[in-house]
Amino acid sequence: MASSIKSSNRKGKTDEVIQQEDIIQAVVIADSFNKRFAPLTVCKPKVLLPLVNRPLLDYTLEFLSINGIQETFIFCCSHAQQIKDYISKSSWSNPDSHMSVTTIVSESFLSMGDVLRELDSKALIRSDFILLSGDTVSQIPVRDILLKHKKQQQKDKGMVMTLVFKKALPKHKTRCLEDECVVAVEPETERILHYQKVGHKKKIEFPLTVFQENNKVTLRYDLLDTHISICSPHVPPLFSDNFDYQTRDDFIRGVLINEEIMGNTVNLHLIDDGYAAQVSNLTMYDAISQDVIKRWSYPVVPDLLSLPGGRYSYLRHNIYKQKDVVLERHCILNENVVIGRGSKVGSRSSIINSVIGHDCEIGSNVHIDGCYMWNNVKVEDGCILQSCLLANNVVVKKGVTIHAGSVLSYNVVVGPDITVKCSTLLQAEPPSVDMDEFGDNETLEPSDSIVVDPNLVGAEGKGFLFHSSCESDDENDEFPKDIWGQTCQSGSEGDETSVPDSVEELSDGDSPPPDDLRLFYSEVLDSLLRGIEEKVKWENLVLEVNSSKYAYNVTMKEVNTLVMKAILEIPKQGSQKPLQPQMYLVALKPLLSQLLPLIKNYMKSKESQLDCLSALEEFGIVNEELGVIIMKVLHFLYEKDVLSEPVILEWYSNPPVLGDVDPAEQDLLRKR
Amino acid sequence: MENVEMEKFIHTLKYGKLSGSCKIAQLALQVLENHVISSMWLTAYDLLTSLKVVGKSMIDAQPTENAVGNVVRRVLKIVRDEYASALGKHAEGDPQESLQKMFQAKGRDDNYRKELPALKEAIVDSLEELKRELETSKDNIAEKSLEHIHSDEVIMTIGQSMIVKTFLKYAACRKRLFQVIVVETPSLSGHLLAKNLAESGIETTVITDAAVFAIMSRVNKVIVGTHSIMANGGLKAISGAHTLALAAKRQSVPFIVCAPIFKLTPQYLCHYDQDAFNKFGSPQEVTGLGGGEVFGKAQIINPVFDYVPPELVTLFISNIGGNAPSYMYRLLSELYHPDDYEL
Repeated sequence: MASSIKSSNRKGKTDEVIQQEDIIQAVVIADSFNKRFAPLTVCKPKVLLPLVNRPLLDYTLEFLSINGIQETFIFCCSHAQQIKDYISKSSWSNPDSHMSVTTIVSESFLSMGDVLRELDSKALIRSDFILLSGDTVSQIPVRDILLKHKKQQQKDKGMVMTLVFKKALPKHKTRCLEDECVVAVEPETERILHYQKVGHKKKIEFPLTVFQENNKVTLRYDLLDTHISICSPHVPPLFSDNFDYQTRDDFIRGVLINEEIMGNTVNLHLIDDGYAAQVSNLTMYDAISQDVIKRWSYPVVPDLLSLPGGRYSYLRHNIYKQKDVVLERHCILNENVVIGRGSKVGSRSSIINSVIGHDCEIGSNVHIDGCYMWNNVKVEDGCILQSCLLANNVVVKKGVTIHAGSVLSYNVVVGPDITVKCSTLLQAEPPSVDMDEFGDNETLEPSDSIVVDPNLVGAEGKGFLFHSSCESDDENDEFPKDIWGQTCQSGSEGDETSVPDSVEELSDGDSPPPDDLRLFYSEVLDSLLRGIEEKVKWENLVLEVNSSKYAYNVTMKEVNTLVMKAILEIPKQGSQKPLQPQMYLVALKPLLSQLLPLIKNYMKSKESQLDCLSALEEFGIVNEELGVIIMKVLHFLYEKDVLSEPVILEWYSNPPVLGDVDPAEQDLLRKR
Repeated sequence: MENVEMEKFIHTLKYGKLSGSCKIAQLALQVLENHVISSMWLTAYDLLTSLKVVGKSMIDAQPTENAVGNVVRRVLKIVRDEYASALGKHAEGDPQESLQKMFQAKGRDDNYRKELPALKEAIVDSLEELKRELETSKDNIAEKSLEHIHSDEVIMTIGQSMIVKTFLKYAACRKRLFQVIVVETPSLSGHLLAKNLAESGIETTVITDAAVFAIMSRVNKVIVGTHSIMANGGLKAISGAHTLALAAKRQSVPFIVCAPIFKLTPQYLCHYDQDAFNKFGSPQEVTGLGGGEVFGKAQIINPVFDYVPPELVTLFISNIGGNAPSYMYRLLSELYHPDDYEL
């Protein structure tokens, strides 16, 4: 409530400001808060990566400046200094440019939500503003959309945000798989009634109220999310009030759920003319580059932009050449090719659908299809490159074949005469520990691979595999990933899980149940470990486990299974290497006898004993090499009267739903 | 201040917010006039060089927009002429100097380096005149419509040209009865013109580009606008114009071009690519929005202009009278100084 009062005060003030000076502001988020572009983003911010030989940020800033935006704030987090330096050197910081650009740096920004909270605390926003990411390529008249937003807001005071979408049929190349969404809109007011990301789902459910409360509803699945939104000054305070809003999706969901309480709404604007897209991953990088080359984004095309290295001349079949390009005899530029200043192409080479940066050298008999080369790349004779990205100073020695989706980061050398497999990510520096702050699951491999692997990069090569496993930590796991160079078969998984109507969605957003279980499990494991070390009485341990049970709201069945699992896991904790079964057993025996009372405490009823058995079985499946000892454990528990004979027999006769492991079972049978 | 204005102009040029080269020419002239008035210069030489710099940056913003370059050349010519007349010389009767004279011209006294206090005023006056010329050129041309459009004629035109629109309307307002057939062009700009004409009471028919040849036999006159007139009298006109001109030639239908004289450019066609001549727009203009999988694989080319060779053009109607294409070279040397052809 307090917030609404505050924001309404704000509103009163801003109205005056609009009438007084009418300054239009834009907020650019110069960080994507993910690692889609790793390893390229290890030493350079994403917004400074070149798209068609021009830094992404320039596209965004020029887009804002042609729309007559007077004040732009750039929020940067990673590699902030580089962005700052770039801006201060560029023409954007000229005193007579009509758009003032301010960079705001904080290492503590971890999401878009943090940026908007910062925006609120600094009180930089005076009126409606344009919110977009620093990697947007567009030429739409966003100023008109802003004016429309203002007009609509006068009619509907609760309208806080206008999302800009572009119409594009499904399977359009520039539609990002991660952003596929279904939107329910009220056609007259263009108010969004329901917004849902599609992800893996095959069925989309809409809350009934959408249809009950509105006479007309349009459901749309032909939208391309431009990630440009017009926000009213209420938006940053809303982010401040709700600390759990991380992304724009969180915000939209939150606003729609709380619509009745807060009275806020979100609108949709459909652009019917113009181009807008966000470079959110490599596939999009590819698609948008092609769009720019094929002039879909006109007038944002290389021959009309002010680019480093001078003007591009445009020839038929979408071939763009800068000055001082050397094309040797018999080399073929098929179509959709951009060649930057000072590059050379050798004889009998053919290039198609590619961008070549400044001062690149391409040998003879090279075939390049769908590649993006940045500056100073060297490709020697006889190479075949397909849909790959070669960053600055990459050297490809002769006879190398690179398959689709590969990324060679700065200074990597490959070859000669090798084949780089599909979707290989290479970087020149050995992967160090500090560069990924996620967990320690990778600490082992780097030390092993300090020596360059000749099978990977060739005899004279220099480069290391980049492990992108940390990427799976992104919370967007539930969404299909665009993997560059591969055609996605997202439909193949028959994943028809969640039925999120609005109520469930809420809990879904905060803390999905699987996380609870995992947390509970690790808590149990911790308390057990501590209990063993400090020889805590078993009653206290039970107390602890029970309290965590309530804390995480876990069912009794899961408690049983997880406790058993945790006990079995403990001996493995000590060392990193997989244990020999004998050693494991030696370690486990004393443990079991120590924790026997605890186990007995949980495994009283028949059901709980069954749970315990299934936990054992699951453990056996997961750790195959330890499968043999499962029967030993079972035998031990039987002898100590934890498990009763009828239960074991029943468990055996109708195995639970888990996929069973035959050997383990046969062993068990023989034991009986 | 002046810089800001120029930036603004360059922006509008680049992002195609301006329609109609008349408007563009006027704005370009405004920028140049402000430059003459507000920038610091002592001699005509200084002014010429700085005007060239300003002009060049405007041309670079949208090289396919010839009107800007032409206006720059006109302004340069004015500066040269005013300098000459201020010196008391009779504005060099023949700007094209003879070979012999060029050999002899060692220490030519007028390097435009003399300081002449009255020069600025004279230039500004002439610029005002040029400005008026630009403003009235459309009406001047329209006034000639009665001489060319006669009763019960069938006139064909293509796309949407402002000048053709005023030309036809002028005749219609004066009770001339005639029929107009509009070719729609791929970007469908013909629809707009047809709607406009129909609203002002002219009998109008829209046809597709493919039907041009079939309809041509019924047409008495083709009247089109153009983007610019090349030095040889050829046209750089909306795509589809060449087909139209060929069909007209085949049926011996007069092909008349309405164009204000600032559209005359000292450039020749040397190549059909954008570098020299054409401009390629977004495929979206012809295919519309949306589009599924197919668009990713298709190559869609959208050239904006067509070249119409001078032998297909019957007559130019400009604000300084009607001229045949073969006369264009003469106008060229009257309007521009040969040193300014290449900026």
